[in-house]
Amino acid sequence: MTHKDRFFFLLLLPAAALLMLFIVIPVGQSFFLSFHRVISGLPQLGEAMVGLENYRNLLHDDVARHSLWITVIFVGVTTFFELLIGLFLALLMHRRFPGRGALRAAVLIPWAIPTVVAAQMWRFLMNDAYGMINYLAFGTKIDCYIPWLAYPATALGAIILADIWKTASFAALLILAGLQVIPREIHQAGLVDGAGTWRRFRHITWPLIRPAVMVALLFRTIDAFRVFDLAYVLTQGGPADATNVLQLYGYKKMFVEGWMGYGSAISVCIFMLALFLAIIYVRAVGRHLLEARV
Amino acid sequence: MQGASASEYLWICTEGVPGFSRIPKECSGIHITSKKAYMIMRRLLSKIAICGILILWAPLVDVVSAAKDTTEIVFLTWKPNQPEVWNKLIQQFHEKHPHITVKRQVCPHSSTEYHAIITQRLKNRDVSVDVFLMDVVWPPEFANAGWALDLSSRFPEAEQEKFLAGPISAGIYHEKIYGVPCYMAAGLFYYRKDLLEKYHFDPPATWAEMIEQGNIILSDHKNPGMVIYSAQFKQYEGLVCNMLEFLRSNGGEILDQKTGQVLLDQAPALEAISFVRDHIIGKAAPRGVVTYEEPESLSLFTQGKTIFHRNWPYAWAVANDPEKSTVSGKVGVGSLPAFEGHDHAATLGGWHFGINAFSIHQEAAWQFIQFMASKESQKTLALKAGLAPTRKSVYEDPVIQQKMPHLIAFLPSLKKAVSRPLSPIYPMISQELQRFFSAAIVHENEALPSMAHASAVRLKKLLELEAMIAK
Amino acid sequence: MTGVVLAVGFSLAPFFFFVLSAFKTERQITAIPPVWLPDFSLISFQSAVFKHHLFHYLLNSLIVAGSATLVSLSLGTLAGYALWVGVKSAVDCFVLR
Repeated sequence: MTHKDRFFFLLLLPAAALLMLFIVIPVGQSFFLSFHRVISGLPQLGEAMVGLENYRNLLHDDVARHSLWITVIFVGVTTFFELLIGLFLALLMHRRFPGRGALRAAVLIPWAIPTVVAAQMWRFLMNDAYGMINYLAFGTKIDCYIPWLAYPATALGAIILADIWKTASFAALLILAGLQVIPREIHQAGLVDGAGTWRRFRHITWPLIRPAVMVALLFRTIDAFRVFDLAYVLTQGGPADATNVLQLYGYKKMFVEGWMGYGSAISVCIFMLALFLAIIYVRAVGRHLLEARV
Repeated sequence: MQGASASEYLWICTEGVPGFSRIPKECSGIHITSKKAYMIMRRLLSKIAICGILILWAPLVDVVSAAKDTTEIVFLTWKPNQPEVWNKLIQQFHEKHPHITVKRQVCPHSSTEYHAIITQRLKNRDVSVDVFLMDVVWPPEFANAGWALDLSSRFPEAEQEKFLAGPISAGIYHEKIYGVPCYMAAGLFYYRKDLLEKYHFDPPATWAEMIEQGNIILSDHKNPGMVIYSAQFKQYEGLVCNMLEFLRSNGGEILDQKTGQVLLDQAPALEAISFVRDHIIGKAAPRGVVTYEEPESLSLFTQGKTIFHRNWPYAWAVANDPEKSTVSGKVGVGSLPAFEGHDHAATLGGWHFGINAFSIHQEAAWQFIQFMASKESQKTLALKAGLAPTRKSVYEDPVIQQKMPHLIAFLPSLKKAVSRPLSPIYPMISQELQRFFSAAIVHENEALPSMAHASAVRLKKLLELEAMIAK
Repeated sequence: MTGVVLAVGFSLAPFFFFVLSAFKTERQITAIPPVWLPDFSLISFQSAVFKHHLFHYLLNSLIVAGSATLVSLSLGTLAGYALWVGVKSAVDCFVLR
């Protein structure tokens, strides 16, 4: 190793050690645990190695299947609306007008609030006795008020709404970064040629910000897949498991019931699914990302 | 290179490193030599080291100061509703036992979170916890896992006799006792005394009667948003308590403790659940009860929006507090109704003191528990915090009888209270029950017998797990 | 312009209502119709600071956030530099191929 290489190795060492300690070792332990049957309430059963039994049980677990389905719906709906609203917000924040800085700050506040606080806030707004949503919909007719969190469909809708509210601005930020790279001359050329707003958007803006939108899509999909605290604080799994997202189910299995091995298998599955999604995205979209930049 | 110190070595390594001499376009004007970069890096690393030491200092100081003359025991507890009362008790203990210091570690208020925290620590044989609290359904789990110390030698039957039978039996597993009852609770039936008197009704003895009375009162009263009944039907532990009361008041049961047979899909249980699904949720009680825990359902009652209410004994003080309640003074309390031809049921609640089996201060811990479970301490908890005592003598105390006559009125229900299924894998059983009951009352259109049967099959599988350790 | 109003409303309205509730008494929070101009009572803040030890938790947050930022920034800077210079060409090859 040359001096150069030794130097770089030294620089990388602390970060690598941290990564090992906080990521590689715990994930590895999770993998390891998922191949054993460990029940914290029954230590007499020991920590028997059961191979793929946990995964086989997971395949036949109706509740896990339902949780996966709920998570997929959550990911699909939130990502779609967040990108839509994020696009709208980014286009808005891109124009030059006085108070643009204030608008940016205002739009970013939902994202800056801790998720737990935001979830409590939405729980408060959705309250069936004095919630703001009910008041805006029905005024003072209290007996018409709907308990939004008491029906499976609307409970899921509630956590979707809370997530959209919270992270649309994050998607907007990512898309804004893409918008700001587009040179003004192209738009001006379009204007000179007589293209209207929609035409300009469809043929100039959209193709050029597609990479940024793809990046936002990637981030949001993977983040939405791992949702936990929103469901935990807002509905705690919801009426009859209606908001029992996969991560929450894994937590309940592992820490509340004590199925350490099975819960680890669920976590590994979430990890694998997220990794799989990420690889697909980067493969399919990576080239476009770089072609656009170059 | 011999004799070169580490710093010199580092400096030599940075010699001729590309990037240091090559100036990036964006920062032209800043010429960073390799030596300068090395100095910057050294300063940065030393700053990191200082911060690291400062961060680690705090727990180190803790450990050092712990090595004193007195025995220090750690009392792991959840966040109480009236912390001043507990503070005062601990202070009294310190005065009585100057050689023992009690250090309190307060966990979140939620019982589930407290369970998660404590099981994680005890699973790892943590010696830093000495005394903890156990919900009335945890002793079998803690005893079986070897987390709670067997107190049979310190807490003989003669002493156990002085406590009420229900809580004591909840602390016993395989004929050994693992918990000393701190306070207890049972499901009680609260009602609007003034409304019932107005219509010359006696407190209802059956659920059907309750709905009948409620309908008559509501049709006359014309108060918008008023309902007949409120209780806790959210998908959490309280749902099991509530549904168990309905089941048992119809002669149904979840499982037979002696034979281990699952009775969840039998006719009495199904009838009770159907009744809740068809007549209570969305009808006698608002649909919102599916999202209510104790505080929300109680606030419906204290705001005068419901006639009948089911809650634990603590609700009495809240409902009669003029600052928190609009129905103060108009509250009656009694046993829950039952189904026709059956006796009323109440689910046992409450908390026990336990000692960590891995604790190194077991004697001091036991002295603390003896103090906290003494007649005087239970009296203080009853008077100041409204927590129902578990010692029989407290109920015979004249001060209690004078200041808290309602507590004496609770006694019949408290004595009749029956525990939830006692099992070392109760958390798993509870999660399955919560899932089933919530689905049963929320998905009104799904066939109940098949749902119950599927749940019974899953419960049987769980019980097979339990049977494995019996061998 | 309507876009701006919508955006700000969408983002801030729930939060604004939440902040307003911080200054209400318990009665006013659960009141219908909602109280738009509360008494500006500081009772919630009092309770949070003295009864529920808010400052202790804030200190915890500060320690966690501060040390996490410090550690990740410093180690990340070092590693980032090493990766940029030392591995830049390798990354270029990997991504473009």
